[in-house]
Amino acid sequence: MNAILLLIPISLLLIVLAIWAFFWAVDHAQFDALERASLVPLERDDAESTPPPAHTRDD
Amino acid sequence: MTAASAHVVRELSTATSLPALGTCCVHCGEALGAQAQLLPALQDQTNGSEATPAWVCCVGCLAAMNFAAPELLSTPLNHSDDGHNFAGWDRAELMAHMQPAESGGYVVNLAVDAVHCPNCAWLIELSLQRISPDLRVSVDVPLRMLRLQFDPAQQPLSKLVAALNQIGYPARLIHGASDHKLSNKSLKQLFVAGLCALQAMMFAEPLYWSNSDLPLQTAQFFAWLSALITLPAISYSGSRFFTGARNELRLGRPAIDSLIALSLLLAFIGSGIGLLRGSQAVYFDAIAMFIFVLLLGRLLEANVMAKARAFSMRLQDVMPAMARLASGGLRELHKLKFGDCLQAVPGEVLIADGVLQSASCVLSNAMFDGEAAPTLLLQGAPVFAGASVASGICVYQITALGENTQLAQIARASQQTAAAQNPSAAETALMATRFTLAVMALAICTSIVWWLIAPERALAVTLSVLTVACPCALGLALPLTRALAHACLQRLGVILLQPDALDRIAQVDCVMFDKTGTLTMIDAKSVRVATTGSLSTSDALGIARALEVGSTHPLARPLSQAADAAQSAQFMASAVEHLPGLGVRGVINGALWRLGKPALSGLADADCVVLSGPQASATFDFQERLQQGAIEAVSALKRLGIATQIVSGDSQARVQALATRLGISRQDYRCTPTEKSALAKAHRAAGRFPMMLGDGVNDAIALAGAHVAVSLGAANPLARMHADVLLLNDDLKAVPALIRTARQSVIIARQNLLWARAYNVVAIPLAALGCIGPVWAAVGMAASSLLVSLNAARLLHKTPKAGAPLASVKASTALS
Repeated sequence: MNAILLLIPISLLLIVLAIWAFFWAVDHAQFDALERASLVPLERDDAESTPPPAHTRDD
Repeated sequence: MTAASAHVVRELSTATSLPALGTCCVHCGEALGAQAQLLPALQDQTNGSEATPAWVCCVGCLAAMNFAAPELLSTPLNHSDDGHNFAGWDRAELMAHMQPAESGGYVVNLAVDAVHCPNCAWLIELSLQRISPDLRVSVDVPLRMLRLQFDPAQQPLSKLVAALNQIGYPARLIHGASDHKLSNKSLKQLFVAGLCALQAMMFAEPLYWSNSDLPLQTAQFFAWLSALITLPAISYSGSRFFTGARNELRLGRPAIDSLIALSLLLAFIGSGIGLLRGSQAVYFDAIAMFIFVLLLGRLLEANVMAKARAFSMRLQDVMPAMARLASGGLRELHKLKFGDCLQAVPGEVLIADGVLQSASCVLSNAMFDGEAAPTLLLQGAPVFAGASVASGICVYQITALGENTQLAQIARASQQTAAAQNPSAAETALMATRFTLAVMALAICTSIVWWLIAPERALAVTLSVLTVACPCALGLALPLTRALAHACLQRLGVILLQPDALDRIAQVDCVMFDKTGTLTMIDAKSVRVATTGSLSTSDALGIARALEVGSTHPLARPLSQAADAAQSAQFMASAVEHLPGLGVRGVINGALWRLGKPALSGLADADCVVLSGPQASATFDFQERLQQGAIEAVSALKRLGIATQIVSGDSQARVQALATRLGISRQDYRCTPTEKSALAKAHRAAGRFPMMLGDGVNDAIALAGAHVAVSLGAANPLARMHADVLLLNDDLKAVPALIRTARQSVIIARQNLLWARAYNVVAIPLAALGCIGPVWAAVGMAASSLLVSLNAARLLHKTPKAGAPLASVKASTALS
């Protein structure tokens, strides 16, 4: 029983934390552009120094 | 509106021929389209010897090459302020187009027409973020829209737009700011509901095993916990059902929201009373899960619909928000007055009717005559809003504005036709209202009767009735099926613009095709050449190509491509002169050559283009090529039992030849738009449901007369404005797939409704008789809605997936 009395407040705390984290993410535009995110790994971040190569054709 | 830099870029490429067939963009590898441009540096080398010409597919890739590897371009592009002042973007009036953002600053949606491929998005985001890392930029490639969140105090919009212009992306402001992204609030509500539902279930689990040796106090404790955790779900996530119910009641039409709200309230209050009395009849976990499932269905549908709406809004945006005055500077549309002189550069759209002031200008009136070629206009000629400038600078004095322009009048005419459509959504709403009222009445009767028989069971039985009759299945049956159908269609490159389009498409029993631009297209392979005198076929094409340099005539591109394919010698034309409505003439190697209608060379009128010079002439005959998938589409439609028909403004011979080839038995030729519309209306009067496919603006009127209007993606904005459905990738195979999916979704929706009804008819009386306890009622409800969802999910497996031939849909589906 004692274990439950400890675990229940912890679970409630975790819920509050999870909700806070999700709200923060939503408010900080983490869900604004869901399409673009999947393309980011394909992009080169050194494009300024080298000429852009032929883009992957089957992306 | 600030297409000036695009103009600069276009000028770079006008001196060149068109790309050889099969050439790809050197930067992104995409197939070359209408915006294709030759790289300036490599162009210089072609004067030397064997250097292969390098092409880019769009302004974006050109800018990317410039941005990333300027050494490749001998003369780096300089888009910097070419005489344009962007101060107009900072005017206070523009704030009306912006929305305050939740996290500070403002959000503005810009249409960026030059966006073509993922590179464009990358480049725009990179260059804007260089100005300020605080900017939130998101580019929607399929929509060609840019969503910009910025702080006007720190980064004036003019600076951002100028930066965009500098890298080759002229932006336009979109009227009426709209948000096509997922609503933040519904996301949060969904998350809270989901989390609470999971946790409430955890806490409620001991209650389901209450027959075991769990002490009563512990059970009570867990019941209180599940009540506590349900509170945020019902007060925060469920709030939209209560607002929805309030709105419905205010309109006097209680529907699904009212029933949901009532069930939630009763279940919560009933469980609350049960909790206080210490009974086991508490259903908090069911409440939270109920809210979560409902919100999930709604979010899915809202997401899909918002995307489609944003798309249509983007397409409806024919007019820019500001006009450029001939005297320099920008002015908002509503501040213009008669007599003002405006200026438009190639690629821009005229925003008012007026009289041409510049000496000459080539305009494309596709807005009005649909399939017509750009025409050369001389000073004093009337010009109309919606026409786009093909070449030359167009300076015009305003004679009509806004609602008085020809364009607005055409738009009104087709809107009036469209208003006669019957909305089937009203039926669904009515059904929901009836169901709600019936269940509520039954619940009240049940509670009264049970109050008289056994007052202690009244609450439990009433709750059972409401829970078991929960419109879960009814509420999910339609939206879920619809959302899945929309998603399936999007994969095929089909966008539904009207909410009730699916129901109407499922009814379609005949399809009417427009010919040119819908069933057929013209390209290089279709050019047939016949020569006389000493002229060779190859030289004829070469001379034609030289005369057509820089022309935007629809036949110019296939001609030049044919010349490239035939590896014709390069000719240089001088003193090129455009003859309005006839063709073009110019001097090549000292001899005068004419290219155009047969009348230009003094011949009888015929269906071809004639090139004539000293002692030689050539005739170009253009065979229209079948649009991609046309044959498959027509035979697939036949298998679906749908009648097909061609309605065209073209000649009998051409229409009949095409009809024979496609196996279409019914055809109408030489039709005016009004006649096309009359044909569609005759079908409807005969009790049939015609679907009309078209692209020209003339079709706008005909499209509005049909039961379902389908517009091809390359169609111009006015036609799209009145379409129910858009085909993004011009593949006609999508048409039978569309009808099949619509029918399938209507069948599945019907099955789901039937199941939901049968379930309710059996379960509600049983619950009212007290045979089903609230717990089993909740189980039955959950099982029923699960069944409905699984049945709807069948749609995903029944529709064909977008296959390899749909090359152009790649960009849109890969990113959506």
